[in-house]
Amino acid sequence: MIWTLARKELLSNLLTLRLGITFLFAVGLIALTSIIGSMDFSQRAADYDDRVRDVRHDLEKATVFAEVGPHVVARPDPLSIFSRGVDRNGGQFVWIGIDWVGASMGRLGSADNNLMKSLVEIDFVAVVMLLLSFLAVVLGFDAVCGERESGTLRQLLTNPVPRGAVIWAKLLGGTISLCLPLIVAFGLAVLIITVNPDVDLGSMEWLRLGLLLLLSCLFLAQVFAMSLVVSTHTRSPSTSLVICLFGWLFLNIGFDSALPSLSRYGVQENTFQQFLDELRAERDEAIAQWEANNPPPPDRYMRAIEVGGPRIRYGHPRGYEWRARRNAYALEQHLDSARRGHQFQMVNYAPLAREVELVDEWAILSPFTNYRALSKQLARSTLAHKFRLRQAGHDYRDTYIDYLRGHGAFASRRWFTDDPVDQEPLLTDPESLTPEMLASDSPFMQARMAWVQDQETLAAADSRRQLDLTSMPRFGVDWREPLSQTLRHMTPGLIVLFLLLGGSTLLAIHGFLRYDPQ
Amino acid sequence: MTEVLLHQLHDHLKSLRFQASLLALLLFFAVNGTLYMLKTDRVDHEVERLEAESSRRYEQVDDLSSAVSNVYSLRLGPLGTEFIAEGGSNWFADSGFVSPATGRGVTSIDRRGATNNWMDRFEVLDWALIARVVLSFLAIVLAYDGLSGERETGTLSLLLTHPISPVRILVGKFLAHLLALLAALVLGMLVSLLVLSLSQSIILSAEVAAAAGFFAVGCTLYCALFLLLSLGVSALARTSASSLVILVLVWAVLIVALPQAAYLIGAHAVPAADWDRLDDHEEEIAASLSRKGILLRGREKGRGDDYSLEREWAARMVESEKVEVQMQRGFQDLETRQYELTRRMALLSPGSAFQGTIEAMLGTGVVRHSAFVSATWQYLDTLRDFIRARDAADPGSPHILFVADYVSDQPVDHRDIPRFAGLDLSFADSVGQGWLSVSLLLLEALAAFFFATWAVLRAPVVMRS
Repeated sequence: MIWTLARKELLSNLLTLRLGITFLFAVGLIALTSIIGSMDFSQRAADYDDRVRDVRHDLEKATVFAEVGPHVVARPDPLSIFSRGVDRNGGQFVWIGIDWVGASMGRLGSADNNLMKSLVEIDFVAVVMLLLSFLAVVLGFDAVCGERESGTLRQLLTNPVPRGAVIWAKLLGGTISLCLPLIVAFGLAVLIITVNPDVDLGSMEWLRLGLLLLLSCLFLAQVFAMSLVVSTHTRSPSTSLVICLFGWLFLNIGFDSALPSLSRYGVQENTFQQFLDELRAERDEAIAQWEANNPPPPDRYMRAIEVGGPRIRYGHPRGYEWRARRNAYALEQHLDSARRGHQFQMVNYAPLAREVELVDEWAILSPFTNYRALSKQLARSTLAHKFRLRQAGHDYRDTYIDYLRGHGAFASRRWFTDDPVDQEPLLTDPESLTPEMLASDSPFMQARMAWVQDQETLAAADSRRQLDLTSMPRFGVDWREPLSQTLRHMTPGLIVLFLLLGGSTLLAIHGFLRYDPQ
Repeated sequence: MTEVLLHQLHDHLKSLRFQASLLALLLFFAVNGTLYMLKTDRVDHEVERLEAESSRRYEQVDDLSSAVSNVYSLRLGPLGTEFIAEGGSNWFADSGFVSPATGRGVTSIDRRGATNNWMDRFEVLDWALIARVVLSFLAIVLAYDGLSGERETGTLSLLLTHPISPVRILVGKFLAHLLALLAALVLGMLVSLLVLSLSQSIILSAEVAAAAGFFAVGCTLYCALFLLLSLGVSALARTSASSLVILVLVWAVLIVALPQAAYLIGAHAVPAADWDRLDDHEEEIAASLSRKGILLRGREKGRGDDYSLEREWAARMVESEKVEVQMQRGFQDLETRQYELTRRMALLSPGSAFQGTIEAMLGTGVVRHSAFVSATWQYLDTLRDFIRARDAADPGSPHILFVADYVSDQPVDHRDIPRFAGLDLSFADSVGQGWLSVSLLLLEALAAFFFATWAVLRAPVVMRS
């Protein structure tokens, strides 16, 4: 019975001009966002590959611990093509080193055009939220009162059909006719994205995409049911449409444009910068104090050749010994100042993160923004999800530092030099040298510099200079949120969605039971 | 005609639809006032901090060498009419950095005021957004049954028995709708102004009044466009309901879908600026100079051979700077072009034409941004002229211009340094930027008028069955 009625609804809907026009626009827009999102994704994948190559290259090239930086880089998530969220803004790069624990993450690729930030970018979810939800309103507003006006409702009710079944049939037929364009557009988007060789969808991603489609169908059913409620409580389609449209305008565009500004300017922010400078100055002062208490050997013992960055060669063992002792103290200071800097930064970043969280929390108040917030969870493009990467990066940094400690790297001369123990230094017997000989343009120094040139050729072939990092822990955890946890986070939003859907259906049936078809 | 007008106006003021619209507008404007009240607190605090930082940079200067090596920070203060049209002031650069030193003479602009990069992009609820989205929507909701409704109730044929032409009826109805809507709009504007001035977020100056006036004029055109469109469709449509469905679909496509589609195309039609190239170039030059042993030796050491190495160094740096300036200006140009292309594509939507008109009239948006960019370059010349003049006055100076430590060592009072005077944005600049938007809006309103007239003249008087 319900099926016959639903089929009639479906057929009559499919033939209308409203569905045709909106269908064309929705499919066109979704195809456009998918093509451009897919191009954008390829660019981000290329940025990711570049950065991974750089990090790997630096690690292979490193011959002293000071040069090691096993930074964590996150692969862009193909699900973000459907629901952009903060996948790009949130950063994809966690810096791993002694000096710094970032409260935010670095971004890959070239800087964004600030001008473009003032414009809004759309994705699949935005098209569903704006255009297809609008179609749901336009199909639903006159489902009952329109039939009353044209007189077909009376005809329908002369048949021996329970009134509740009519509403169920309308809901079913309407939802199916809304889901048809949705499924076509979704299929097209998936097709466009899978054609891109950079996109690699695992089974979990397919599952999440399937759930996103299901969520979108439920969302459209919910909006349709809500307009059915209006339709069963009004006499003329015009009144119904005006109510539906005002509702749509307020809950969708109105709420959506007020929400970010409200949370942006409603949260108290802090200003910082100076504190970090003070922290660094404090650290440097502590190190200077240590140096004053433990004076280095005379300059001639400290002479060494800098070879690219923090690495030195051909120094005197006495100078090396002092440097290693200094490092053992100084690097602990660096670690400590990094830790405190991070704590301080977190105080400053917390309000910014709170602003973003609030937008997603309050989103539950409107069925439209609720749908978007839920999609972001499914597409793993929320800020909370980004913070999982940050946390995983910080945990990894801890294991990395444990590894350095375990190898005695901080107090070892391997921190700053790759000279073998029997390496002949630049100044073999510093005590015997006069200040004239030490001047940079003296014949003695010229000869020694020529010697350095020869040594460099030897050094290039010396395998003992290689830094053995085989036992260094690598970043390998899957930091991404498992689906079960995502669903748990989605629970409040889903409950609201189902309550609205169920409640609207019941209200619509209730309204229709007392509806006068005359 | 006047009777039609008065009659319609009277009907309106009583109708639920109009009262709901009025309420909607008041609500939106009140939220706007509250938001900008909250925002002004934030911005004032920020401006203070950044101004202090900018002054500190001037105060660091004590002699000509420090004047050369100093990096000056230029501030583009808030406009004061952002609650009317935000014009990108939340995202666009608000600071410029200029150093007169040779090789460093590439001005850059940056966003220093607080932004939250984690936040999804969003449009701030300014007056322009309210008008663009809500007002156009209300125009449709008010006028969609302007003629079809009268046809349905049968009063249209009654009306046409009077000796007045259908065009006059149209004009009368149109003016009544326009007056009602504008009255609601003005009330809303007053609410927002009241909230803002009571909280002392703005001072009701002539400037604000003029901006509000411009806004109202723009709104009149924009409202007229949608009212005439609605009346035209309502004359042709079979029923009021189908008139509304058609109009609202057209609205959703024009106002919501088109501008967003324009972003997607505009953002990818122009290649992104490759800022890394600039850094690469700087490193390359530094490396090539040190390879060739061309270096700065310090003032005393260089005196022996009349600074031959330093002069060589400066000459190379001037050449390199030319390349960098070209690159930087090219990138700045590229970014502006990307934005402008997007906005131009969006002009297909009357909403964007309206936005462009308001921004041009208020002297905000990309006009202001471009003016700021060129002002930073001009200011660099001003600074260099000042240093050149000071240096020329000192015969003991090596006169290697814009290289710190190789210019006059006379003291400089930082108060003598010419300050950044801010923007001198003339009305002609705004018009130059906004003429396309303004004329499009005018043309569209005119086209809507002709469409409505045509529709009324050929509209059926009685309902077709």
